[in-house]
Amino acid sequence: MVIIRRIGNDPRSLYVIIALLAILYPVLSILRPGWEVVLTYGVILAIAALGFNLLLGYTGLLSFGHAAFFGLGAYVSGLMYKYIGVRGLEIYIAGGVLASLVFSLVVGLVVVRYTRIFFSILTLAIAQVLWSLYLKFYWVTGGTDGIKIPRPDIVGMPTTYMSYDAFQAFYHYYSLAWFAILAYIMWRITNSPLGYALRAVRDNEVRSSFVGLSIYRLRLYSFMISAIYAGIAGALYAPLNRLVTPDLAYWTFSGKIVFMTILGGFKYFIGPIVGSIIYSFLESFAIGLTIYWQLILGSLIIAIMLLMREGIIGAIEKTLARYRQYIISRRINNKSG
Amino acid sequence: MAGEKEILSIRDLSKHFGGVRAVDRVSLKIFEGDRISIIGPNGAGKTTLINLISGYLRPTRGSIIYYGRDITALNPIDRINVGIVRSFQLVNLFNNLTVFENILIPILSRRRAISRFISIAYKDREAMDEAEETLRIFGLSDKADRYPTDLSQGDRKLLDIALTFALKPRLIMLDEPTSGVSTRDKHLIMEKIVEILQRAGITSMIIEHDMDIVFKYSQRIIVMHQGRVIADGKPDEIRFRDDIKSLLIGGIYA
Amino acid sequence: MVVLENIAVQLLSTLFYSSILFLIASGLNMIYGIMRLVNLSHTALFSLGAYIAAWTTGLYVVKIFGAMPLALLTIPAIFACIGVLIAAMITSPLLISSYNKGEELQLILTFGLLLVFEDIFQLFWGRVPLTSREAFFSLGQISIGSYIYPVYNIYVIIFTMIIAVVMWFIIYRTRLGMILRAVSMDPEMSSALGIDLRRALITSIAVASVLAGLGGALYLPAAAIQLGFSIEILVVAFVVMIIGGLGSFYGSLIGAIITGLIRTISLAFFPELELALLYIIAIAILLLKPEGIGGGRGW
Repeated sequence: MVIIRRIGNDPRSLYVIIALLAILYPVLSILRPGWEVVLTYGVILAIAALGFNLLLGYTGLLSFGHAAFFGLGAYVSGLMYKYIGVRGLEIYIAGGVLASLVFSLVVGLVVVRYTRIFFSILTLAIAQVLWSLYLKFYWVTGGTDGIKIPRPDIVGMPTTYMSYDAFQAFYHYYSLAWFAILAYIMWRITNSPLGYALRAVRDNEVRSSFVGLSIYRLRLYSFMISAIYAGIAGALYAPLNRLVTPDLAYWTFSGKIVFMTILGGFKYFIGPIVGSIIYSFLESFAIGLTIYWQLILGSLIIAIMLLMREGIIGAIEKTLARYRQYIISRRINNKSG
Repeated sequence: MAGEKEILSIRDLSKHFGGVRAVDRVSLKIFEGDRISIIGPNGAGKTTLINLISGYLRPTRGSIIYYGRDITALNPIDRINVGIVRSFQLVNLFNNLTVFENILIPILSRRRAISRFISIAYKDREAMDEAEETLRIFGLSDKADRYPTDLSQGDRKLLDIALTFALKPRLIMLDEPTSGVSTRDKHLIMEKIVEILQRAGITSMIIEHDMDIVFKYSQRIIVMHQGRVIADGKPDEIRFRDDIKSLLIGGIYA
Repeated sequence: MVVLENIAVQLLSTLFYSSILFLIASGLNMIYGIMRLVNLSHTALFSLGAYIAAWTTGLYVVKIFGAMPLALLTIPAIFACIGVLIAAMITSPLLISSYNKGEELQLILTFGLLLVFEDIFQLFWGRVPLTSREAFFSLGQISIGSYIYPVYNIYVIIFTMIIAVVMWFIIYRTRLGMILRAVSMDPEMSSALGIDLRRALITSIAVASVLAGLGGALYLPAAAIQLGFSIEILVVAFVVMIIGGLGSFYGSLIGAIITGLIRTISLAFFPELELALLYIIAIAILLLKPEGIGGGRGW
């Protein structure tokens, strides 16, 4: 029994990407010094986007408020450092997981009952509420100044003694390791009974219920898992960025996550990953060019939705398919000729 | 029918829609292994009866006892879980999933593979084997990788029915399983259905309009008219009742 | 007596806020009701109206007409409407192309449009908040007991009421309104009956946009316009729609009033939780009466 997989959903593509992410780091540090950290940010964002796409690509729910969980992971890390003096990165991550789990459960119980536009607006609203709380309770969160986080302890070891380059490199491979594990888990999820059930619900809600699937519960699971991924990403992001500010929970950040995912192609497993990496570079490049990066971002979103709805991976697959056709027709012509 | 196990007992079941009595004081006993055809003119209450038994409608009055248990208040999904499954007249498939994946869904659902947390961590080989087997039984193995939109009408119908069977029901209710299908395919489909019903010992209630099919494949016929059951017996008993014949002919063409 | 005056003032403030919300939400509801389209960039048109009004006032009106109320109130508003109409017509092909193409597409597309608008605002008008104090004070103030209340707000309330009546008249008593209602109820059937669907869609976009732009122009003097306002008011506008019922004209009215009331109450007692309270009420409505209080797509 062969289930044909294309590039977008082939596990081998994932291996290639991970390998590339490992190799590109030193390459960049030589060719374009200073830009290799963008790769690390890309990896961290890819974790958030992977989780997000479980919700969008596989469950069919468009959340405009995923920054809420990302910000939650970041703030939990910051607050743990500020009030308890915690420095372990693994503990930050655990905190991010726990906070996202609880918050997504509470929010999800209500929000997941509604689909489509209601769901999108509700998630946007939740994110905005969190953002406003981060901003207003400044005596706890530092308001717009945010919370500063020093270099964390990784696997128990303090990293303050490391040189700048050494720390950045270490952080990159550490994040990459997390990414690899989380991507593998997500791969298993999408190919598990849960993954199939989500796809069924996204495709035909009515038939799904007639076949005994509990749509509500499935969507809730998907929501929670995607939130946890975003929370982990936030916890990884905070120490790298050294600063946790409210704009991590602002709607534009949610918009970035949405954009990354569709840029890569939300119908494919590796789409969000590719989208995140490319987006990170795009953003760094654009911000370097002009302050009007929202204009560029917005225009790109429009352009992609009109012209290239399947994203980059979709465009690649289409080109490959056409190439395959071409080869086949050549072969047929040769045989008859 | 005598001596067999009674699995479903419908007592004084009624469903009123305002002034209309869609189902009017129906009492029935269904036995394990029954192969029932429900016939009657349009508006007789056949689909409403199935809706009541499968839980998509609440009765105005009466009760439904299933394997000795009162299920009148049970919701549709829980009825699926205890083995009461129905199909619909219009084919409704997962158009963006392959045929194989279509069959996999109800199997996974039935095996409760999804509600267990562990489900995210493993692949459920058994379910996939069962899916392959089910496709083989229904003769759809060679189309496993295709999408429902690429199939012929008859195959789509077959797949739709296969999805219903994949839930391993004890009581299956099919709403016009051969409608919208060519005459030749009708018999092929019915043969397949009956073969599976017999092999697995599933009890069935099938709404059908095609009298050839009804008399060829049923073992018990229930005739409904204006919400009531007006006849209930073996095909031979029903076949020679003139009042039924004129009702049906009048009903079908009226 | 002071309590009565207080209540009167609070009521006026509520009505003012509700008026603005009504102008925004009625347009959103119109587009959703007729086009089944969720336009996240609609509030950007509101902001655009406010920006144009501010621009016009600052650059021309004050210089030419001084503090003359008639000029200050009408000219910026007219320019705002024209400007917003132009912007809406430019972006309408985008909106129409996503008609019937699935909500994900619409949401993401209009979201991109919103981002573009926001940066255009930044490009033209910068990051500094703009306002039009001249217009605000041009009508003076009145005393309500021991309180002083700006006449401008009252003007906005009355003006909006007139607009609401005019809208009601157009929708329920004219042929155009009948056509729009038909399209919102059953687009296919309407098209089969000879209604030019495209024209209906463009008309509704035009009307909705002008309403939004007008709302912006009216709101500007009483407050200020700055970047990010579009998204802040977008979420509130959707709360209005949820409370009143998606796609419903009466829903816009009811939703706007209720939302205004909630805001006034929460500002009086729990200011920090203003936003949160709004969302809680919206969620409560979704749970208890999902079609909203105004009813379904009752156009």
